[in-house]
Amino acid sequence: MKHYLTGADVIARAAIDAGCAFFAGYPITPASGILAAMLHELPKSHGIGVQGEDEIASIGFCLGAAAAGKRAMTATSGPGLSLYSEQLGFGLMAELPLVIVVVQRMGPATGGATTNAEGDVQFARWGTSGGYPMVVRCPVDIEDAYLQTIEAFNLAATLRTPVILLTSKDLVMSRQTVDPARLVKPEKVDVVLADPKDSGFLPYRRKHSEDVPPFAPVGGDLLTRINTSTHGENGLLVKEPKLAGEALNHLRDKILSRADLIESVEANLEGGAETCIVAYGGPARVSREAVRLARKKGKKVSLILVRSLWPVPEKALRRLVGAHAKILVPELNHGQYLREIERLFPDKDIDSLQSIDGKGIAPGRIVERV
Amino acid sequence: MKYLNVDRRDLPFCPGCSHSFVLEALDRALAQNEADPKRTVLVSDIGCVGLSDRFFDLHTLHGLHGRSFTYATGVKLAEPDLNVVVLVGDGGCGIGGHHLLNLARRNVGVTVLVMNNHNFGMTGGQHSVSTPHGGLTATTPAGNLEYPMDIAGIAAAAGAGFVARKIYNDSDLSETLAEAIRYEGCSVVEIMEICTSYYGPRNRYNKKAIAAYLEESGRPTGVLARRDRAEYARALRSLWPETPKNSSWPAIETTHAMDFDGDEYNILLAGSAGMKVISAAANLGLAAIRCGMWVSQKDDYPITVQSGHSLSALKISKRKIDDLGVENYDAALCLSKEGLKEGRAAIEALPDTAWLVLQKGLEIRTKAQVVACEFKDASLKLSQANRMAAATGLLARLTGVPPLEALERTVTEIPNSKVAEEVAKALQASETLLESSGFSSL
Repeated sequence: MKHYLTGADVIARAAIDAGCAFFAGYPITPASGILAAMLHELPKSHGIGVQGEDEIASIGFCLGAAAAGKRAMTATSGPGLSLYSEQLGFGLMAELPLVIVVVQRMGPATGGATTNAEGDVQFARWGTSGGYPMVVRCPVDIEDAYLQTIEAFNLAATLRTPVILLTSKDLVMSRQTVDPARLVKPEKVDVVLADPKDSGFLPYRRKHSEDVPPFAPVGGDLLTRINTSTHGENGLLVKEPKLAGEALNHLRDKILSRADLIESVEANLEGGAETCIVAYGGPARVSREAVRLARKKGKKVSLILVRSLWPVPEKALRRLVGAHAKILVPELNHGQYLREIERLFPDKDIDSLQSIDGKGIAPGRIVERV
Repeated sequence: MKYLNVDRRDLPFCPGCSHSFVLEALDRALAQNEADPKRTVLVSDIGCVGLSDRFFDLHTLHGLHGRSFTYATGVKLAEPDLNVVVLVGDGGCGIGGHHLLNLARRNVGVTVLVMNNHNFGMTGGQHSVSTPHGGLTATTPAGNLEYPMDIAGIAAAAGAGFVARKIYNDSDLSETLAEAIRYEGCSVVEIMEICTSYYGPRNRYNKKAIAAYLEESGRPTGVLARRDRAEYARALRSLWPETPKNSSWPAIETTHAMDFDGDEYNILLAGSAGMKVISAAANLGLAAIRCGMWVSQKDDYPITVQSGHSLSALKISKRKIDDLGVENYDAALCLSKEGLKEGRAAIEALPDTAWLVLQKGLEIRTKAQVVACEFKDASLKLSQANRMAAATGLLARLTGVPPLEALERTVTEIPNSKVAEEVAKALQASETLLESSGFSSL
């Protein structure tokens, strides 16, 4: 038995399977399918789905619901992500779990609404003020979109932070065969709640900088303070350099210290291969096909697919790239991940394959460069 | 019960600032309502007003300028039994005015206290959306040329269930606030204030001036609206079925079989908006899945809705598909000028083994075997919406990709029975089309 579904269908179902109880979004191509699916499906499972008056409101509703303890998700495209910017900072600073699906489309501003592109790779990482780490996951294909949507909810809960699921028009709007046997549903991971009997409860209490503070929802039995201003453990504004520094280092440390949990890379290495393809998103799917074609022609080639874009899975990449002399990075932008690969491998021969016009990269073009 | 955890003298506001009066009134209002602090959430953002929340022993949520309305909406929609109170200034009603309008319009059960002191106090006394005409501020040195927003009036016009305008030292302010908090839907109370550091001294704006300003501008105090309207968080829940239940995806069983040379068979459907190109492609895809194939369908159309081209690239594969892109097609169905324009390069590149089903009158150079048909022939009774479906029937008859029976079976499962009937007729009409084309069935 099979299904014939769009990525939007699959992401919406995965969200509900992950325990998502709240969704708010604003119509924008190519993300509107997720909004429609969530607003149809959530009431059936006694969840709340609403369309906000704009993107700022939509993500604001989600943050309010997350503060009240709901597993929340929103979905948008590049122009909407621009409007989410300040609220992404809210999520980071207030330490609220939230899943943000970004369905990329062509170009800056209104760009090409119905044309595929993957140009928001760096924007997803640096999309709010301050420069603190954003966790960004990037599904390879439609089955992976199911898995990674659930993983994104689990990571957001574990880390008490917003997690971006970076997708694109081709994955979300195209319809494909889906084999239910290939859908992997990880166990639900909940946010760690504060002990309601804890008389010394502090909203942001931690022993070590990297600790994730136990959470108490607003409206619950423990009075709590959720604050986006630089705050001490009690949730009140601090300016004193030592306390402010600790609060901000904590935001970095809790993410970077959990690289092993966040990082995810899929590898298909071939002994004796000189070239290794490092790909994500659409070109990751195409690279699988390209590797098949190249090997059929007798070419030796390895493939590394990056499922966790940010933070960069440095350890895994270093280990897997290993002795390959050449790295090929196909991207649907002007080389936004290329710079990360160049940073990690200054001594390797690095080749960049780019397409920004919506036509994409055909497998043959990758095979030529191997 | 006390909710305010400091004495008025220990609040961080300038001497005489109206904010202190309002916070004390809020404290009394909560006491009058016997509000449970554990079920009360104070939402605030930026400006002098934003300094308030730490002095209340309640749940507090503090965020970005003007966005309090959005966080409060989220909290209330998530937990409709909570008291949710927004503290905001006139500045917040400027930058977040759109959210205030929509909070009022939806009638979300949030109480909004607008502390209107006519300027931005925290950042040095710049003018705001509520600065009176002619008012002197740091950014209106010649007097304000703009006209002030009527915050309470706008909230009432937008549909907030309860709206009041009060003055900061009104003796019954706490009673009004208590009623606003008790009110089930959206309540907005605009409180006229004096900024004792900037707007007040610069404009000799004192208690008397507030009264004169309200008089001149025709803005009465007191309760301006008290309506009986459904509260939105509860209205949303009224749509819930009694028992929660997830829906399931339609299942496609393997009921037929098909074959073709090679691993993949790629079909381009090229037409115009209104021809149901995407639906026709989906039916082909479903029929192929029914035959055990893997399918991907990439659609392309402009941002317009009922005009312009509509293209679907359908890949039918014997193994799981990675690359959704199609470089070479084995068949194309082209029924309109717009479809031809967008699909021209792919159609011109068709090899001589490929099939091209073409609306008569469309001209293109191709090596493919061209099956030119008059889809508009009146005797066929094919509406524009069913011509592409007829073309898929023609393809099935010509190539067996997918077999006609699989396609017909797929069509019987279209949920809308009227549509299913129309499409089934279109598949039948393809027999006549095939006869007229001079080609014969597989």
